[in-house]
Amino acid sequence: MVVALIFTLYFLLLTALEILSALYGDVTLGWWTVDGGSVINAFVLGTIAATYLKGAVVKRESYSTVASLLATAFSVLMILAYLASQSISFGVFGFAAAPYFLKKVKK
Amino acid sequence: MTVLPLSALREGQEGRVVAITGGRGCSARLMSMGLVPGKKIRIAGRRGGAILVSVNGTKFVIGRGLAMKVAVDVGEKI
Amino acid sequence: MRVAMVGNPNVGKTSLLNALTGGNFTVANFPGVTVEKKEGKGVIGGKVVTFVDLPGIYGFETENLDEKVARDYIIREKPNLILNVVNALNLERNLYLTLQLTEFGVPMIIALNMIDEAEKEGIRIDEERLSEILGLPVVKTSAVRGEGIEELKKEILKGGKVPKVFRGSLEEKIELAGRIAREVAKSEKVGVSEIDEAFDEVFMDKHLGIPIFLSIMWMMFVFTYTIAEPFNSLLGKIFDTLASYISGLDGWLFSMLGDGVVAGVGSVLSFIPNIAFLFLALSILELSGYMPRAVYLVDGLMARFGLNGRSIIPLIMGFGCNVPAVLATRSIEDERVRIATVIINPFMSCSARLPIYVLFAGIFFPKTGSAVIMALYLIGVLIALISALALRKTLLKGEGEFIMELPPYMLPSLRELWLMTWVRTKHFIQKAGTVILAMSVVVWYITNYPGGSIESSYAAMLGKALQPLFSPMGWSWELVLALITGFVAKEVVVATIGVLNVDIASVMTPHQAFAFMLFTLLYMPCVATIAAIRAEIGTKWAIFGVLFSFAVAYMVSMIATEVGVWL
Repeated sequence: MVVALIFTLYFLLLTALEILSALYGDVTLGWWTVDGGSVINAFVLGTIAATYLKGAVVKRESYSTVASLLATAFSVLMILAYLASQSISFGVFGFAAAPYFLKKVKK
Repeated sequence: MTVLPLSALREGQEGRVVAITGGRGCSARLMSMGLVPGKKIRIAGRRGGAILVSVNGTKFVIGRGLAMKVAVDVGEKI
Repeated sequence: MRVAMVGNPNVGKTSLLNALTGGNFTVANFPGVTVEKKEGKGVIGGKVVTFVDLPGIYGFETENLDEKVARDYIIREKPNLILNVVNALNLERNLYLTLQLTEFGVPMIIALNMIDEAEKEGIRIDEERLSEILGLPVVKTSAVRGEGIEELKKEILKGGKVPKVFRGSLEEKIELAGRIAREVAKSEKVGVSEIDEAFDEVFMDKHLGIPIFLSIMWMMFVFTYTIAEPFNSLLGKIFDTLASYISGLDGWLFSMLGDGVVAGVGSVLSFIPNIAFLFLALSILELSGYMPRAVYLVDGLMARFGLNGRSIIPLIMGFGCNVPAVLATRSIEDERVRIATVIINPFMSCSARLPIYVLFAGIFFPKTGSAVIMALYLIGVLIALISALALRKTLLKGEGEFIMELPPYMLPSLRELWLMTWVRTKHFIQKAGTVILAMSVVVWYITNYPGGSIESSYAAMLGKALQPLFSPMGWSWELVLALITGFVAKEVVVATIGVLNVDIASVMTPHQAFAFMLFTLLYMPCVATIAAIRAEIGTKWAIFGVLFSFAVAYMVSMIATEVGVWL
């Protein structure tokens, strides 16, 4: 359940950054500048965060598994979108959930 | 015996199918899918329109119109 | 030798086909319908055997299209053998179909598939007893693990046995199927598998189900439009270059080929990447088992407008482009709901209409531009839903009854995804190609003749001739001409206004401009969309759709003009 809470906070942070980038244009993190933020991408990240949170609240691993699946799929998609349109979103960082998802599915 | 249409059942409620009213085509369709009189049925979820039921370990989504044609006995203790 | 594979949905027929043919199968449509037909060849003991995977069915008693296709195939094509694939996890229901199959008098073999999963659930099936009762060879298989495949091949070579016929009413057959199942199987399966329960719990969660669904829709949207975009513009560039090269050659024939055929067909063919990507995304949703869950989530909302849960995907896709959106209605099984969903789809404002809004809003509503554009999108949705309700109460009356089994979740195989995407895309190219070709030539002709320039063309004459029709709105003939050319593709409206060099700020008032924007939102689908509508629901409905949307557009923009004057 600690894992679910950590992921909740992580994706809440990504959601907030995505909203900032959607509202104010470029958000720079060190050498990394994100310019393709969109409110709908933020909605997806927020949904992922909420799914982890519910999993932590009701103490069910299924929520974390599905949230990780969504996060992984979304980050793959955002990487492809970056290749196609050269604009990048914080969604790519969802890749951090991939190892967790793979572990769960193997089980 | 308390018989209700499937559409009137609450989420989580269980019962036993007693009859399928409505035309021949309708009952043939439901029965060939395994919704046969005598089977135990459970409402696995519902939200406004369609109803989610579980029969024999298989889940179905049934539209409201069709759900009104399935008579379920909820009186029996299962 | 030809073998027809028959069974309930979700019994693993495709994996079995894959195992029997070594992956050598293709997907096509059954003649005249959009039901998909998988066919493959396998070599067994030196003999070539053709396997045809018929659509998954529960019985033969209803008017369902899949059942009709399966029945017609067995009666007309007379396969040498029926391979009845039975799900060992749900023997009773599957045997009911088996009993019905005995009536065809065709030799049969039963494959007790998914036997590994059944045994894991503690189900023991006495296949010898089952074989004795039915008088048929029975083979235990697990297509996914490749178990029992060699044995099944041996039985196929032997040719199966003609079963004894079980006649009797529906109730009697169901009774009998239950009795046989109880006799040969030690325990019937009770619970759904753990993984499925876990996924269902989250995907159909009370609070999170809808946000997750919307997230998945957005991902599909990004996949279909953003990621396909480079391919689109590449194709677009190729066709543009080709068109201008050909039309640069001397003579009317080259002009027609270049500016008419290549430019017209090219503008539509450059949608192909979108369509292929959409079909790929749809196939993933379908094969993974998510689709029926999504339908359950939104059904309540859609039912209020006479649609059902399945209509939501085409409606959302319509914001990108109506062409793939119309094709996405294919998963709606109720014909009347499907037609209604197709007809209202063009009211969802596609991306090609955005340049028009941007142009007019920029000139007439410099401060409130984005609110005006937002309003147009919402009006489109509202009119779509009202139209759906109206259609379902009049022309397309009838209760849309539906029941769907929730299949287990699965990871789709790449080969199947590719085959499904390819067959659907090919179908679109074939069906839409002819109409678009003809329309492109007509539009080229009326914009180029007799004068050579657009101001003195038949199209301009048409614009002037039709202008009185739009006198309640008070639009100039140039604007009417722009609407006519916009029939090819909505972006062209802006291009035509540019070519004619119209100073729109001087020819209309803001409320007239708003009425004009409303009209372009609603007036009629573009050629490509009409072609897609015709391919999906037929010429008659395509004509109806054009007339209907025109009537709606005319009324709405007239009302807007009147209200504007009054304000």
